[in-house]
Formats: sequence, C-alpha cells, structure tokens
Amino acid sequence: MGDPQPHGSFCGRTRREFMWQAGGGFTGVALAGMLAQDGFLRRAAFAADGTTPMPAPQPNPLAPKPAMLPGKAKSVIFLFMYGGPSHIDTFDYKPDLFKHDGKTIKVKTKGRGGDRNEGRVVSPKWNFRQHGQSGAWVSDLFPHLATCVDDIAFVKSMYADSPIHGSAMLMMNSGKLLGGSPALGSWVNYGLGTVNQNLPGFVVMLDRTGGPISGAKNWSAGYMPAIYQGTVLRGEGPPILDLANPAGRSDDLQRRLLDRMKAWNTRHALLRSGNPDLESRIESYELAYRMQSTAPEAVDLAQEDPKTLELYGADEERTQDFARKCILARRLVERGVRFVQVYSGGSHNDANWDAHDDLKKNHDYHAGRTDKPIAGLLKDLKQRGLLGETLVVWGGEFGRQPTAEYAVGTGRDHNSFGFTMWMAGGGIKGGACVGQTDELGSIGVGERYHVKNLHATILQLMGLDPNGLSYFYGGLDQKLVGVEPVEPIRGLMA
Amino acid sequence: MLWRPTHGSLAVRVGLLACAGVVALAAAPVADDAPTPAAPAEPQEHPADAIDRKALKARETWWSWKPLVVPQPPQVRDAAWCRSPLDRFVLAKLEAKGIAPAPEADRVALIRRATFDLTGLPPTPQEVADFIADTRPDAYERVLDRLLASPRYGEKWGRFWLDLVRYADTNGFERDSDKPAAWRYRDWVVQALNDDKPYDRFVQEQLAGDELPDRDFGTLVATGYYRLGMWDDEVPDLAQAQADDMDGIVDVTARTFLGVPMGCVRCHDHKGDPIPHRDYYRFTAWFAGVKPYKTSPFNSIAAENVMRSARTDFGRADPEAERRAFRDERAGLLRDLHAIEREAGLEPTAEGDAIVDRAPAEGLVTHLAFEDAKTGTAANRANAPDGTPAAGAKVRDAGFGAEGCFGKAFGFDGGDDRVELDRPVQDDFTVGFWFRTTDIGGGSENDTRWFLGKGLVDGEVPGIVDDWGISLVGHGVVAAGTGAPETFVASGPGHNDGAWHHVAFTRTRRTGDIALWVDGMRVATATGSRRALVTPKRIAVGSLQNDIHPFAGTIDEVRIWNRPLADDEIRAMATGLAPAAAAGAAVESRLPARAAEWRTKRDRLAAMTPPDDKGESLLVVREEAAPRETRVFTRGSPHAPAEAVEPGVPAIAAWFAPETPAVRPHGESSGRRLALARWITDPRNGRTLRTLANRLWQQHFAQGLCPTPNDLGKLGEPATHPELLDWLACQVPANGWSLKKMHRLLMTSSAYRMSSVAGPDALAKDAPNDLLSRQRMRRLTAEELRDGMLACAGTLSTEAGGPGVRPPMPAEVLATSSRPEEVWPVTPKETWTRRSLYIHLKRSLQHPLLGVFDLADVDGMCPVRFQTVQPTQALSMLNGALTNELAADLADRLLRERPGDLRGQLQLGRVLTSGRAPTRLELDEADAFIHELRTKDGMDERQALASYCLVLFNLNEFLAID
Repeated sequence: MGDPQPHGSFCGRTRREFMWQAGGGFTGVALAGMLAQDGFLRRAAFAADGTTPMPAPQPNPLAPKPAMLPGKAKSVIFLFMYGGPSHIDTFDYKPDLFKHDGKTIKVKTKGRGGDRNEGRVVSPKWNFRQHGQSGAWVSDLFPHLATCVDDIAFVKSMYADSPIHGSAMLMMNSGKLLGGSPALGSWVNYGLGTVNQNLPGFVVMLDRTGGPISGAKNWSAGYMPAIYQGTVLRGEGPPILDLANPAGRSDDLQRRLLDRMKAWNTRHALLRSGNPDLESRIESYELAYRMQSTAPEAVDLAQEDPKTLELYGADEERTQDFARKCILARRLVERGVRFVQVYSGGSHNDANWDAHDDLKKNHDYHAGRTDKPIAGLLKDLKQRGLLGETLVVWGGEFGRQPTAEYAVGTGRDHNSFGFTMWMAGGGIKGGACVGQTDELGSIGVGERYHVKNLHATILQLMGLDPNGLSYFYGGLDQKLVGVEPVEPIRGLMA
Repeated sequence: MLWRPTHGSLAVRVGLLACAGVVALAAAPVADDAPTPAAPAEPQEHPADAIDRKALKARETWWSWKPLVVPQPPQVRDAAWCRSPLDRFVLAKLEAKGIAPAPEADRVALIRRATFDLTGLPPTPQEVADFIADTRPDAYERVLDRLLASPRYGEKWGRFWLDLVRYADTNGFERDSDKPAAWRYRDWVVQALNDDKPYDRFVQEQLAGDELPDRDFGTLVATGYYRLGMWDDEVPDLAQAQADDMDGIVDVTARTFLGVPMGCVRCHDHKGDPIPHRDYYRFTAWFAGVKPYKTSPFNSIAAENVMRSARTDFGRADPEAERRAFRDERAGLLRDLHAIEREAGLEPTAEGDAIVDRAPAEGLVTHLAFEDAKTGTAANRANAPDGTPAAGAKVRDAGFGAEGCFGKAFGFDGGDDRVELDRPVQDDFTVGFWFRTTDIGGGSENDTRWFLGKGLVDGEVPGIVDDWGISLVGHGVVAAGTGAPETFVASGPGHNDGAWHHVAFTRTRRTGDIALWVDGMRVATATGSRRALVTPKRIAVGSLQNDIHPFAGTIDEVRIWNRPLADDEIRAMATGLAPAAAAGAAVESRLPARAAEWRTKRDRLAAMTPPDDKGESLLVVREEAAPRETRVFTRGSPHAPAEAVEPGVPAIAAWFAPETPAVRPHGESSGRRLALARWITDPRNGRTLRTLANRLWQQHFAQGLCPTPNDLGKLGEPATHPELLDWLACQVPANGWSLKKMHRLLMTSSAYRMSSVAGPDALAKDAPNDLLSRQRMRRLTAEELRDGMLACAGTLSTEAGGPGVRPPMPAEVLATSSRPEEVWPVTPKETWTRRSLYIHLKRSLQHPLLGVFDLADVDGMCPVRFQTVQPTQALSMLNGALTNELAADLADRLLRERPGDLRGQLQLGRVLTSGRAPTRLELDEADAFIHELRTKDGMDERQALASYCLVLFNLNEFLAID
C-alpha cells in the first residue's frame, strides 16, 4: 500500500495530541492539504513573500487515506434501531418461549428494573418462518427483509456492558460507557478520510420525534477535533444547518458577498506572511459555497425514478419517512460519504423500540415503518453494484428480556446479556449466522460477541486495523476497541 | 538557588524520606494546622520499587521534575531589545540562529491583542484612539492595568480554567439533568480571578476549601471542583461508576495542577514516566473520604452527598448565637406580653408555662385531640363542635396517652404507628397541629421536597398529582407542599430540639398560594396549583399517606379548617396570646398605663421572623465519617481489589513529603485533601509552578513553552525553552502567586509585543515559530467570536454571574434532542446578549456557532482549544441566524451613531470590528459595494449596511488577532 504515514498518527508528523490542540498548530492543517491539492497554497505562499516556499502543508485530515488493510467496504450505513429491538421477536427464534407463555420461570435478568431471578415468560407475538437458501429464521415482523436473508449475516450472541439506555447508547456508538470519546463514524473518517470534500464524511439522520437520548453525544467526535463529528442531515428542507442562504439572499448576492470578503481577506493576508491559516480560511468559504450547491443535489429525491421510490416504500404513508432516509443514505454513499447513521425511533418511550408496555403495538409500529425501506435499500444497493462496497449494519443498543417487565402486559425490559445484530454488504458472508442465546434467548451462550467485536469487524471490513487505529489523547493511544486487542467476528466475513 | 530557602532543615529530612521511595501516611488524630513531617515507612519489597528506583533517577534528569532553580538569563548581543529578563531567553535562541526578532507590533495590533487576551473582547474605538494618542512612556502599561482591573478579565480567564476542570451545567447521559448550583463554582472562579486571589490559595480552596481553618461560603463553593464530572444517574455497575467519577477527580487534579496524566496509571504502570500502578491508588487515597455522587444503581443522584446548604456569611457569622438571641428576645416578648394580658384579664391568672388554646372554631372540620383511647379512634373529640368522630378515622397501634401540649397526645414510635382518616378538605384549608421530636427527619436539608420527609400530616400520592402534605425533613426542617405542579415550602432546620412546636399550613385555591407557619411565624410562602387537591382519598398523621417514612415523636391537637386562617389567628394559637384586635381593646381600656408597651411588643412579635438558617444550596465536596480504605484495583477494575494503600505521592514527585493529614476540628473531614493541597502549592513543588507558568505563557503566546500543557512528562512534547519556563515558574512565588502580576510580566516583555508577521529570515529559519521569532497569530475562540460580535453591535450585556442563560437555539439543533420541546427553555430576552460564559453549558446540546468554532468538549479536560478551519464555520457565519441578526444590530448602531453619514458608518464599522481605520481605497470599495446593494439588489439603507456588517464579521481581520 506504500502508505508513508504511520496509521494512528495524525498527519504522519507526530502522534502528540498537541498537534491537534496547539494554537496555530492545527489552524492551517484542516484545509491546507485540501488547498495543496489544487496548488492554491503553494501559489499563495510564494506570493506572500515572493521567494521562500512555505513548509510542506499538512495533509487535510479528511483527505482520503489509503486503507491499512485490504478491506472490501468503502462506506458504512448503520441502521440504528434505537431503544433496543427484541431479538426473540425478530430473528432469534426460540420455540420454547411459545410453550412457556405466561409461566413464571427462573431466569436471571438485568434491566432498568434491576436484577431479577425469575419472571413471567412472554411468548413472541409473531410467527417465525425460515427463508432463503440459508434457511434463516425471521418473524412476520419483517416480510420484506425476509426476502434478503441470503445477503445478511446474523450475530445472535451479542452482548454489551450496560442494559441502561444512557450508557448503552454511548457504548454502541463510541465503545465506552462514558461520554467524551469519538463515535464509530468519527473513527472511520479519522482513519480513511472522505473522498468527497463537498459533503460531510459522517452523516446522521434522526427520527422525526427527536434525537436519541444524549442527543449529539451519540455522534460526537469526543476528544478529536470537531471536523470528525457527525453532521445531522435532515430528510426535508435544507439538509444541513445554515446550508441555505437566509431568506431573500440570492445565490448571486451570496457570490458577491463572498467576492467582497475574498478581496479584502486576500489583501489582509498578503501583509501577514507566515500565517497560512489565513489562506485556509479564505478557501474554506469557497468550499462552503460549493457545499451549498452539492449537498442539496445529494438529497434531491426528485432525481430518483418512481420504481426506486416504490422499492423502498417511499410512496406509502407508513414507510415514506424511513424510505426517504434509506434512499438518502444510498445517495450519500454513492457520493463518497464514509459513514451514514440512520435512526429508527427517537425521543422516549414508545417513540422508539423501547417496548416496556405493549410489545405488539410497539414493534408492529417500528418494524412496519422500517421493514420495506431497509429491504429496499439492500436490493437497491445490490442492483446498483454498491452492496459489495457498502457495509450495512442493523441493530439497537441492546435486546430485550424473554420475560415480562410488569405483572400484566407484554412489555419486555432491556437485555444486554444477549441480543441479535446483522450486517450485510461489503465483505460480509451472506447467509452466515454466528453465535446463539440459551433456549429462552436470555443470554448469549458459547461464542459471545461484545460490542467491541462488532466495532472491530466494522473497522476491519473498512480496511482499518481495529487494534492499530489509535489516537493519542490523555497520555494514551486511544482506540475505539480499547486497550486490549479485540478480534473481529471472523464468521461473518466473506 | 533552590526554591527552599526557608525550609533548609526540612529539606534535608524530606530528602531522606524521598530516598525511602515511599511516602506513606497514616490518618492522625485531630491536630492543629502546623505541618508535621511524616515518618518514613519501612522499606518493603514491592514490584513498584524497581519503578521507584528509576523514578529517583529520572527526577534528577527530566527537566520538569528537577528542583526548581532560578536560571541565569543568558547573555545577548542586543540587550537593548530586552525589556524583561525573559526576553533574554528568547533573544539568545534567535541570535544563535541569526534571526532578528520581529519588530514591535503597531499600537492597534497591540491593544487589540492585549484586550482580547485579558478580557476576551475587542477594544472600543475610543480605547484604541486614546492609546494611539497617549504619548506617555507608560501608555501601554496603563492599558494593561486598566484591562487587568476590568471585571471582564475574570470572565475571559475563568473560561480557560473551566475548560481545564471540565465544567458543565449538566450531568450527561440519558437525562442530562442540571448539575445543581454548578454555576456558583463558575462564578467563584470568575470572582477569584478578578480578586487576584493568589494561585496557591486558589488551588487550596478548590481542593480543600471545606478543610481550611478560615473556611467561608466562598471556599465551600470552590469545592464544587469535585463535582464537575459526568454523572450517570442510572448505572449498570455502581462500583464502576463510582470508580470512574473518582478517576475523573484524580486525573483532573494531577493534570491541572501538576501536568501529570495520572489516568493511564489507573490500569498499569506508566509507560512514559516511572510511576507505578500502585501510586495511582495512593494518589486516589487522598480523596478516599469524598462521598460518591451516587449510592444506588437506580435512577438517582445522592444529593445529600454532594450538596450542602450554607448561608453567605458562613464561617464569619455565628448562626447559633443568632438563634439564641432570637429565642431569647422572643421568649422575653412573650413573657412580658403574657404578663400584661394576664393583668388585663385576658388570660387565667395562674402562673406557669401552660398557654391558652386559642384555636378558632369557625370552619373547623376535623379535630384530633388524642385525649382518650377508649373509643378506639383517634378522634373522640373529632369534628368539633358536635363531637362526632372524624370520618373514616383509624388508628394503628397504641400511641394514646403521651404527654401532650394540651392534655394528652399521640406518641409515634417511628415504626408502624399511624392515624388515618378520610381527607376532609380539597380547596381552601388550614392544617394546624403541635409536634415534639428529636427525630432528625427524612431526606436532607438540601432537598426539602416534603414527600422525602417523615410524615406529620400528609396526603402524598406518588407522581405529579393533586396532593399535599406536611413532613419533617433532615435536620428538623418542617416541609410542606402541593402537587401538580409540585410546589414546596420549608422552614429552617432545628425543630427536632425536643420542644413543642406549632405548625400551620394554609392553602388558598383561587390564587394557589400556600404558606407554612412554624410557632406562629410565617416561614415560607409559594404559589402552586389552583386545582382541587382530590387525589389522596385518605390522609395520614405520623407517616406519609402511602405508609412510608414514619415519624418518631409526639403530635397533638391536629385540626383542619376549611379556610385559610388569618395571620393573627395562627399567631394566637401558637403563642396563646389573644387575637390582637380584641386584646388591644381590652388592654387599652383596662391597663392604659401599659398599652403603649403592649402595642410596641405586639408589633415587634408580629414582625419577628426566625434567623434565615436555610442558606444557599451549594454543590460541594462532603466526606464520609472516616475515609474508606483504598485498594489497588487490578487493571483498574473495582471488582478486582488488591493490596491496601495509604495516601502518597509518586516517588518521582516526592522531593518532599506532604504533611500528615489531621482530622479537621469541625469533624467533617479527614484533612487529607488539605494536606495534598498544601503539598501541591508548596513553593518547593516545582512541577506546580512550571505547569502554571506554562499555561499562562500558552494563553499569551498561543502555544505553551511546553506544547502539551497537561503533560510535562516523557509522553509530552519537550519544552522549546525549558530555562525560560523555569525562570517564569520562579517568578510565581516571587510575585506572591499573583496571576495579574504574571500577566503584566509576560505582556510587558518585548517578546509579547512583537508583530506576528514573519520576516524572510524567520520564514526561512523558523517557519513553525518554535524559536519565537514573532508573535503567534491566533483565531478568536468560540466565546470571543460571539462576544466580540455582540460588543461590536453594541448589544453585549455585562451582567455577571448567576444561573446559566438559554438564548434561542435553531429548531434544527433542538430536533437532535430526545426532548425537542423541553430541552431548552429560552430565558428572557434580556439574557440573550450575555457573555457566552454564562450560556447554560449542556453536554448533549451545544450552541451551534460555539460548537463549530471548537468549544471545549466538556466531558474531558480541554487544556488547549482546537483552532480548526471548517467549511461549516463559514456556513454558520454567512447564513446563520445569529450572525445575521448581529450584523443587523451593528448596522443599526452605525446608523444611530453616524446618522446620515454613509462613509462615517462604513468607517466606524471597520474600526469596531478590526480596531483599525480603513484606508481610503477600502472606504471607496465599501461605498461602491453599498451602492451596488442599493441599486442592483434593491436593498434599503439598513439592509445594505447589514450586508456590509456581515462581511465585516466574516473578515479574517475580525476573526484573527495579529
């Protein structure tokens, strides 16, 4: 690969965090490399004092970087089923649960209600059937997705460190129970950069009802600079905050404002040699201006043909919202966005998959809104030849318990001892299935896979060494997967 | 010269101690404040010993651990350039490379740089003009003195400090709820800096403000330092969460004050500096008494562990003496008034303590007198006057027959004793009764929601419902309230003194007013629900209605009226004095000689309110009765405890030992933190001084002399000018630890005053500017950017302090919250233009403009702000609502201040935003630009000017400091 820069180092110059933090150290960095690509900075630097070349500009932190390892995937679409979908009502078929429905049995659980040693079994509220060549079990919640199982690989023995939303969300998104660490999408962009400088490299789409709990902490760049943080993209209206001109300002006027600024800024910079940040800032306005025209095009669904819209369910009331987001996700990865995260569910209680009270109502609602769009996404990626380089990840922050949370009703409490996630696309062995839970689906047994294994798998498939990709902060080489080496889930990988 | 001139003999002892490699300390009995050197522990075989041996060597050689010696400023050829000895260190390196230092910056650049550096705001046009016109030789020094005296100074530098200690107004995680009263810590920091509190004291107050012999309200607030971490209110693993919070305290303390990243040693021996794993835990042991923020895995924060109430005169006033004086005066008044009224025939003539029961009959619907157990109900005289029992009255256990205030009373044993009855009122009412107890009460005095207390007379039903109740809360506080919306009133503490106290709680439905009376004095009022309070079907006496929180003590004469009683009626009941109107007439006619005295004393009695014991609710450190044992956690896991350790500092830092902790005289803490604070701020502790000096340099030169200010160790970057750093560090104690003197020292140097423009020499030989051949240009910080725009627009509010404010937030940003409707209640408009320091810092919701300009991520420490360049910054500045509004405000200002004078307006705009008067060419260009906007775009005067102002805010000349 001939990458001259050691990975896990920033800019290949020093791994010290001060490079990011020191005043003046970073200023020129973010864009200088970008500018160097079109020779702008060199011209400007020579112009500045006429004789001396500037020191070699630092690479753009978001400039595309060669992968560390051979990786099939170039982009990730993470479909985050926020609130914790029930694995035993969706993909993890447990016939015993039907038998024991209503009976109180001994089973260890830990959820928001604390530790319990017994509970009343709630049988799955949907029937299960086997599908495809692989014979994967899928419940009737996902009739469309069931037709895609041969492209999907399941992990049925996932576990996480927390059965509480607050810390569990942070764990699934950043690998840590505490805030302050970069999100998975930040790591991917840090490691690989992005190939389209006119779009953010890490995009997040939220539910209509609001963000998940902890809001922006879920896509924060933590201790990395904000350039790596997720950008919230809206499905309707101007897609990015402040992307559109204020009301009444024409594009022509915007251009003239920019030109006025640029003229004065350029004159200002000429008198201040040795400060390349000034040129970087001038150029950042040009980049912003380009984003203003690029980003709306990327989210313009009018360019999609009706058949495609239909495939995702964009023409149906129930599915149109999530369908739009899935189509946007495809359009974004087509345009080189590295990491797209789409939330199903937001806010609190039954506005997401957190089915504490009426399991049937909750999961019918959320699965009904997402099943066809997700199936559409997989099929569309496949027909466009994009599935091979796009890694699709599905899951929530944890699963749910086989027993009821309350004395009456079908609601299930959280379960981080065992749950299911699936992946499809880039580098994934379609039809594979690894791991299992016990006969009740209460806990993973045999080979269990931690959230860190999932993260390692995603990094590995993206061509990043999960145990090598690091960022120096707080006296440590920080890694997404933590200090101890973590294996990717090999059984899923093609 | 070594920095221990006054401690010669101690230094020798210390040296011996250090050789032992281990500085173990044992808890000592109560002692005075004199430091006592610790006895050396027996040398022991330990895997850490090998590391300690390395440490003893390393500290002799590694620049930042060596004892601090004042370096001799080097010789330079151009001595005339040097205004300060510090300039010699800079110039010597430049001369060695044959680089001439940059010339002095012009006056505009200088005053703009100095003003932003010290206040975070741009200079006003007048300030710039005055400086340019001032020909006195000390004109620049005068500017510095003016800026250092400005209250804006503490706001600028306070922000820097808050970044270090990871200050936020919320706790993070699912609910991201407000960190109670955290803002007081923020205000304390600002005030301390404005007061130029010596840095050693500044550190001691934060680490051990509660343990200082001269502690006061401010020093308690300072210990909010310990409570700034992320708090998960619902945790999967309690021990882990507590250990994580402690790790935050340890790591922030070690890095902030000493520049040592201790966090890595939590799990293993340090990879860079020779610090053994064990020593992380020895350092942790200094804090082993600190109560954790959380004691249960379920959804809660242990408020009683992290809060305390204190009056603003805490430590100076003697509340006990005030209470005594109050009690004495009141007793005297009552005694005299009873005597007069007896003489006037208003009371029986018999002497004694017994008072007349003055309870009014009008509106009385329930009366539990507890005189007789025979009927088996609580209320054999219930529902006076007809004597029928209270509806549904039921008694559990036999509490009858206790000695009462009037006859017999009901004694509650704190177990399952209780009396209950059907709720007799719902709209307007008064509940009155007497109680006597030594029970401390439930909950804590910091959280006086009545349903946390032990029930006196109560109708609590869980949830936000239409209920009410009266209870005894921690430390003898009487608390009451109504539900939906939950509204609370509470008395001061101390009513658990074993004496009888009368309580009355009144409620008026029409207004929602509630009032709490104790001993005939109105102690609290509030306005709550205007709904019928019908949720509780039953009410309970001696417990909460839902059968929890039983009360231990005696209750007598519980009465409920269906109307709010008048002040005079309640006072009469509690004091036994006759209602004032009737009594006044009687005294006037029967005892005219004493009528004037009677009137004066009655008025005084009516006016008396108890001393305000409630104080302010503070976020503070609190300690357990005794520090917990500290054990090494294998690989950092609290579930794998290993050997026990005592407080200590790593051998590499142990040039001298911390004093032996002594339990503080007030008995609230172990004294460990004070011992650590004194060790950190000992002038012999070179690491503290270097760390501070480096941070000050960093803020004035955009990069520290050691570029990794939180790590002066082996994993950090080497210092570019270690001797200069040592010299500066020595200046700190020499200047009495005054930060303002240090600023002056740095800013009056020739180095600081250099231009930031690189000459050809500098570009060729010192492109990265490591040698300081010129000043460093820097971008405005997020706060400087917003505050600077507000200042230019003339709308900046200078109001200081208080709870964080919430100016409007774009809907797109609110939509990222899980509670878009409730997450950001906007505060009144006059708060919108306050300095960014005062914007409520919510972990999960950042102000977009501040966020995109590299606001600190408050979950971790932020010793240096990023200075990124991102296209999203351009989008915010060009298209964002805030910038466009401020541009319009600036246009209004220009129109106001230069009416009818376009060129004057254009000129002033430029001066405001850049400090500099524009050239004629620039004015012509601006003029043409406006003309085009007016003619081509059809803008009116204000719109065109606002567009010009938007351009000005986007210019590098505004965003960058020369």
